[in-house]
Amino acid sequence: MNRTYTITILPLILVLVLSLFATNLASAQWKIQKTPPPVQNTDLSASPSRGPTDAPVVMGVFSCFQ
Amino acid sequence: MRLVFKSFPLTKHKFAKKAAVAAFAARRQGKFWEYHDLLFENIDTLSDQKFRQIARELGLDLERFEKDINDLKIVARINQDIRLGAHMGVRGTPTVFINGRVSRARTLEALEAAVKDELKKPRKPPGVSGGVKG
Repeated sequence: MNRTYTITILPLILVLVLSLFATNLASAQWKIQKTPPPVQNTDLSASPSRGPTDAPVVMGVFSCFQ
Repeated sequence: MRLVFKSFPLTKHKFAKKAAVAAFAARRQGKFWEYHDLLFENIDTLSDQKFRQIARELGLDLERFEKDINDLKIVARINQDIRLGAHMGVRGTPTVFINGRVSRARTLEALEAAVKDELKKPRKPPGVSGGVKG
């Protein structure tokens, strides 16, 4: 009885643990892909800008003229 | 505060990309922001003629302007902004990033508050150097 119980439950627990791990891993990868590069680390010198270059706040605006 | 303009012309608007090209052509004559402001003032009546009219109003060298609005380097520059925006998750305009993080502020008051909050944070070393022309 005890052996049957162990044989049935252990693989189930193993599958559960593995699926949780896989879900977390996929979620972490998604977050890594979705995290954009900070605007201030891109080549802003090529873009029109207003204000001092050493300003503590950089506001990048993606804009459309129409 | 420093404001950085990035082009993200939406394809659903007929003259959006041409307007961006015209603004960058004006930039070559040091009049980007003036041209930018006039484009927004005339947002409902944009056309090829309007781009030339604005250039004339600002006293741009029209011959040079005509040449520049056909310069593929300007188009490439705008495409670079579009790619960056797409990479950063920009889906519509305006999309505002404050110190690298997207801002959900949609009103002037909310933007001011977001900037004030940013100013309260400990300052990090700047990630941008060099002069920037408008």
